[in-house]
Amino acid sequence: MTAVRSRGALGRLRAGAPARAARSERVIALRVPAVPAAVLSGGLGLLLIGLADLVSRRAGPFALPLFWAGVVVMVGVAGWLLLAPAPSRVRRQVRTVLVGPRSAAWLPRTRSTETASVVGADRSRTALSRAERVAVVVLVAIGLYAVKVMTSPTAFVLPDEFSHLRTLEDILRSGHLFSENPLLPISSIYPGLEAAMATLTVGSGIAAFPLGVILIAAARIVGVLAVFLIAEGVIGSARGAGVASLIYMANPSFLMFDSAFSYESLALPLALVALWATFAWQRRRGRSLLHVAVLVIVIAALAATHHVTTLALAGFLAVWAIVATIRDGGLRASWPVAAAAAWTVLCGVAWLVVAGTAAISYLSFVFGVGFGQVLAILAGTDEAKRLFAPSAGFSTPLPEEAVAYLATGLVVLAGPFALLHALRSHRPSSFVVALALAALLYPAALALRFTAGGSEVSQRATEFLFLPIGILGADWLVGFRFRRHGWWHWRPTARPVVLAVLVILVAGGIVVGSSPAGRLPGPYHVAAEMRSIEPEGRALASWALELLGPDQRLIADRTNAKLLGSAGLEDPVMAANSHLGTAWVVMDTKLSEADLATLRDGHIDYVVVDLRLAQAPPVYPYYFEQSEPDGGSHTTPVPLVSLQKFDSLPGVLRIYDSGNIIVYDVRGLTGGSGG
Amino acid sequence: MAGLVIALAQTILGESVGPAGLLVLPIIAIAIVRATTARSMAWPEATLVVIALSLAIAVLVGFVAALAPRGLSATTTGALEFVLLAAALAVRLWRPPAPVTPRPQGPPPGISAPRTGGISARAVGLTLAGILLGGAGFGVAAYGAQTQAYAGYVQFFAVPASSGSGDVVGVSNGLADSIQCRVSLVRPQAGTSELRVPDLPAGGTWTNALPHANAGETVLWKLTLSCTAADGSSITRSLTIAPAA
Repeated sequence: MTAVRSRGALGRLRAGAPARAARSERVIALRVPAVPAAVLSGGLGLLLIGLADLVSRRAGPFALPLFWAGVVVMVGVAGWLLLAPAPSRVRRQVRTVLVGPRSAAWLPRTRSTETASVVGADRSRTALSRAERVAVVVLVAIGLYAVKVMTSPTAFVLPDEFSHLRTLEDILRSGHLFSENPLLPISSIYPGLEAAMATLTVGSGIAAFPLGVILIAAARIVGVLAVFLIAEGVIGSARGAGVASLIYMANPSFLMFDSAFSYESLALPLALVALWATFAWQRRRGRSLLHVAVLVIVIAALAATHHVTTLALAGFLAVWAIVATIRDGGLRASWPVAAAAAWTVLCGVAWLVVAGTAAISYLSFVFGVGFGQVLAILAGTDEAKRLFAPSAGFSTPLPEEAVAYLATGLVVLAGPFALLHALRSHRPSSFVVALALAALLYPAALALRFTAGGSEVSQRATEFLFLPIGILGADWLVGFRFRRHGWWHWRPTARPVVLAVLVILVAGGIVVGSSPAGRLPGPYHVAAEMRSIEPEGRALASWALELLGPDQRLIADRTNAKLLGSAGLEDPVMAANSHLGTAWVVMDTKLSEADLATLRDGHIDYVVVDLRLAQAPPVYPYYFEQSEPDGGSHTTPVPLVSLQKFDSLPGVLRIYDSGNIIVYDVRGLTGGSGG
Repeated sequence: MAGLVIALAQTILGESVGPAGLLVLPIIAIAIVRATTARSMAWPEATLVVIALSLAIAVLVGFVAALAPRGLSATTTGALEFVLLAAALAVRLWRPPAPVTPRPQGPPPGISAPRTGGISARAVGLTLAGILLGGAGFGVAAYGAQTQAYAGYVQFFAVPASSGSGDVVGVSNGLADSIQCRVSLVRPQAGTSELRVPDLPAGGTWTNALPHANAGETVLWKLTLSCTAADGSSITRSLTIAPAA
């Protein structure tokens, strides 16, 4: 029956539709092949950004304009290519005749495949093939990853990267998991990234930095491929999938945070793959051993890699399974989704049993702080955080702020259109309904931005929420139109306008996700994350490892603690790992009884004092950690007298002096053997 | 077969087999794909599945190896990879061949075939130009990172000697040029002495054992480092140590 209908449809198409489509598309024909054009624009973009990095390191002018020029070239050309017209008239007519007005996600696979093959066979020279679109998407993803790598092309310098390097070193040293990580205790409880790195390290002998770059790059390719394939399945168009992928890349975490050598950078792509495998498995009505294998293996690895991502995947799959069960008449159709959700929950719980339940208290603290502050702001007992507030002389330029607000506003304003288009234009699949429900969380995530404790949660939430936003947004922007009634059918149609929207979304995501000081390298500054990593601090870490030996309990500011805890393999003691206010020991002008008690209770042997803390307020909100005097609201530097007080304390030895950094042996104060 | 050989070599040698060690995981992933489906996949799906499985298997192999009594090592991970690969190959051989759906040999009637011309010289040129530009960008960024000007440093330190023979004092030159230094040792109960430090080139380190404390000498010692840099600037560092008896 299908074949007969297909022949009929194709016969009508032959009568002239393809010719008309081809004529209209030839007007805006591409004059260069797509993939080489994307490679060229990506290369040019990276050259501009490399120059921006160079200029920024020398504190020269025009670093930011160069950076943005690079981003616009890279993303703009890719966006233009991805928006290149598919033979949409042909596709629409074929689809309507063959299968009627249903969304592609609702189609049985055989018919969908049939449709795709017809469309693919008829593409004109102006249209991009599916493979070309996939290649362009992967090239953009890798290009944006290279932007992060180029900020520090020889070593990891982000705080989280030091924390995970410590877990990796502990695994390589001991051969076993779950050593205590003083820099990020939860990292050693979810050591999937480090276990993979250790496997590759002992097998290949390649050093951690190049291997980590390769591993995260591979994860990034997997992530965007999964987004593309999921979006293609939902929208039913490679063009829509390309646009969805680009919108996904506009999430604020994509450029820097998700590119870091961090467990989330691996876990998120694994979760996306699991989602794709579930989606494909369900479309095959549970008859695909490959997708089962992928699901089982990937979700098991995910559960050992990252807590929040496992939780998010389990939650989404559960919602999807419930929606599918209700809408599609019981478990008969939805059992693959339910099985995937159950496996995710099982793996997550099993990991809690294996690794301990510290993750629960960690997560409840992280989420509790943010939501508590939102409630306090709503109740009027707390003030909303000022967005883009300048810090220690670093401020976000006004044009960047404008782009960030514009991008966020575009997502919020387009939300109703995209949601109604998804839910009202045609009978949505249960997956689309689940996506729509997830997208509704975006405003809540934005609310967290106005809290000091919740802004990080808000930022991390976007890497999940931009999947539904990207897919539904792309479906609204460039997806099929089957019926045209209702105001939500409006959408921008001019290709330059849509391209401008895409570029603004990506640029806005970059601004929201990272300050200029966080995305461009530069001269040393106090407590400025990667800009605080410099040779004197690294030399201290090397010295400590060589001459003090590993695992010494010490107090140090955030920057030196990260270096000492990773390269030095020392044991920095802080509130985050010991519930002790060690920052007060350094920042108090006089050593109080409480400080002495902290030294004793923490079994502290050494105190590392960086005199540069007295030079400027921190760029990052804290010198040490959230739990410190005036944490998050510093307007003046630490008094020099606070940092120099140890010189006059009896029983304290001064055993290291490199000009800016002093190490004191305080065992004489705590009853150790030092003094 | 290559994967089996590499994994076996890693297991027997007990050490890394070089970059070839990275190939084992994708080979296992491909073997799993072959063992679970007879369907051919388009390259995006195939790339996705192979890389994702490689990453996930790396995680799980590391996890299982680390739980083993011998711990995670080249031997344990190699053995696990060997077993996984052998199992996937065995399943592939054991499974009856699935019926292969014939793929369409061409476009349906009335539809023109897609253009499948070779790669044009223009495409090759543009791609090479893009790679060169991107490489240049990376090179510029790397050059900037390697040549970034940081304030130099001079480390002055004292640590207990490992043999228990007394403390060791040391100087390390982290400046770009050589420095001339001297160390003065003030012992409140035994006078002042000076330690001679040879010229220290950039990156050079000097260490010297300090004398033992006299009986009853309990007051802390003060050490002061005074250096002159190549540009004439002076550098001073100071330490306070407990005398080793």
